[in-house]
Amino acid sequence: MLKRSFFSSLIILYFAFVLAPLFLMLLGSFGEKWFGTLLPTGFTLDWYSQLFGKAMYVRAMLMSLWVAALTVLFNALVSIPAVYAIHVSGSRKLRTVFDFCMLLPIAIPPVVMGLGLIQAFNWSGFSLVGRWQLLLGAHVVYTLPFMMRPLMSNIEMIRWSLLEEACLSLGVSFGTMVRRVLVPNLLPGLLSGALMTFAMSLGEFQLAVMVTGSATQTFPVVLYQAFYVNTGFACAATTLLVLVSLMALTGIVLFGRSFSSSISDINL
Amino acid sequence: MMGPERSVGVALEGIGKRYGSAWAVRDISLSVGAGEFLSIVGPSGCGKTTLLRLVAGFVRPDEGTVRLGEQPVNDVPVRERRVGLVFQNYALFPNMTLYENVAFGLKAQNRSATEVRRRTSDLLEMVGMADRAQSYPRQLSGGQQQRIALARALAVEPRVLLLDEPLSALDAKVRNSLRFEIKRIQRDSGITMIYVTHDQEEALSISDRVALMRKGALEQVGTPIELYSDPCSLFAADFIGVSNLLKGESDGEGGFLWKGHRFILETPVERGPASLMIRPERLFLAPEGVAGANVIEALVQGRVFLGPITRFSCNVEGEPLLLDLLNVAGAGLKVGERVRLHFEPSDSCVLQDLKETVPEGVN
Repeated sequence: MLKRSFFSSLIILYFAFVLAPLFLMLLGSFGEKWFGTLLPTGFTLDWYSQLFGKAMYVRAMLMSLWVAALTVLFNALVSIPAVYAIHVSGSRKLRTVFDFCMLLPIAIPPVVMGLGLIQAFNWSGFSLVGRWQLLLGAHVVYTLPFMMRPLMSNIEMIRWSLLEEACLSLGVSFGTMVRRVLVPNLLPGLLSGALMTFAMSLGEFQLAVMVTGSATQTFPVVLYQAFYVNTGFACAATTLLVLVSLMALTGIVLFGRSFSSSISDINL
Repeated sequence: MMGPERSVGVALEGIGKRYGSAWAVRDISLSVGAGEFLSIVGPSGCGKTTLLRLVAGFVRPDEGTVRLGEQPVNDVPVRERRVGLVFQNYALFPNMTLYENVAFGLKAQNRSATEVRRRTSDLLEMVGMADRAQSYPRQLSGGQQQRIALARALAVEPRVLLLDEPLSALDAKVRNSLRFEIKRIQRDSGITMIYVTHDQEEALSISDRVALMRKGALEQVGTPIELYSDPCSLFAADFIGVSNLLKGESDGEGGFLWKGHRFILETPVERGPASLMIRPERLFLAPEGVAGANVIEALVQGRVFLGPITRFSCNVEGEPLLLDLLNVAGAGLKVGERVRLHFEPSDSCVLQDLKETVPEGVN
């Protein structure tokens, strides 16, 4: 009994630790003033109207969504052929290289990568630093393993090489095979990879703060700058960011469920 | 509506395939007639699957020629060979309904919509799965999935159908019924089938001819009856069915010497060490008082009940001998009983390859 209550209080503590900051942010986003008091005082919707009213913030939000969406797209375009090639080749060597590459973004801190990018793409007369394309490239490289990994386990789980042999023996062309068999059967891996990389790109701060310029700032960068100037506004911005992430997550989970139920609709 | 040819024979001419320095199969020459049902059997690692993949086109031979009908196909890619495949693990497309699985190849061939519909329903009907057309593969049992795989492969009217251990993943009962269904489909459609299995009983029961493989080479090719009653080697005798192999010596004058006995052979064989093979069901209890050349005294040591028959293990001067008796009233022996066994010269067979190592499991 004692043991049980000990563990449940641990769980409660854990959730308090995770959720309390979010709750405070939500509270702060509606507070007029939050200075020197435990909780904010007053009630206002001003911060939210600023959030949507000021072109700079809207632009940062759109920039974040744009980069995140393109990150997912490029990840998919690179990962599907790569995973397919590694699987079909059946080469143990390639697989080892793959496993090694999957560890790189964990081993190399983003700050190192950011500095490297600035060094590499900043020439006199022409510089990529400050452009969103550079941030996109950085995000694709940074998040690629998180798209590749679920796709790799997906393609292994469905035993793709057998399905490919079946297609070949039926005389199905390569294009039809990719469109009608490969991609549909990789959707679960693609979805979980997309969710992961979208969320990572949306919230990524270290690379963004280093390689974006004033015209291409993403939302986390703006949020960070606002925090020192205006707490209430920063709270509203955070709340919005969390909300967008949650929406993306729910959407993908719902889509994933309707997809998987169409293939797993068990009524034996 | 048909392709140019319905079903063609397959010819392998001096086929060899090497992986690194090791030959997976070597010096294989074999021809399969149009409409024939040929099984390839052998222990695992004997190269039977490699042979099937050579015919399918997934593997390219290092030596020799593969022909479909008259056409050499060494350089023809899988997609253009029009060879159907059925896999051990079904390999149905999980994202498609059963109907879509069967229709997929037809659509890829750009057949007209009415023809796709008609042929797909016909095939689902043929394998007895018409009522499940809208189900997905994962909702089916293994046996049902394999039926769909069969329908999918046959839908596109292949010239030859290759089956790679199609029943190995199924339980015994389903395996038995599906085996005869495959045979029926083969007979009805007249398609050439090459069927790979490690189960010799399966091969014997459904094939027109059986090719026995060993270590990448063909050991013996023949009808099931030929392989069973007239094996060409100790290996063949051991792999196909159950056999008693008595290691002895031929005296060159129509006799076989074993443990002081001299058995009469049907036809004399060359003098020298040899083995005499007798199937356990070809041994009989000798009637009282009969004394003949082919009579062996034995002691019953154990019995295994196998349904229609009981298999007795007898001991002859330290050598085990198996005897099958039908379970009819009054038959049956007690453990510890002394018996006199008898066989007809025509029911035995002398095998002279004693030089080779006796494969595992030889009595």
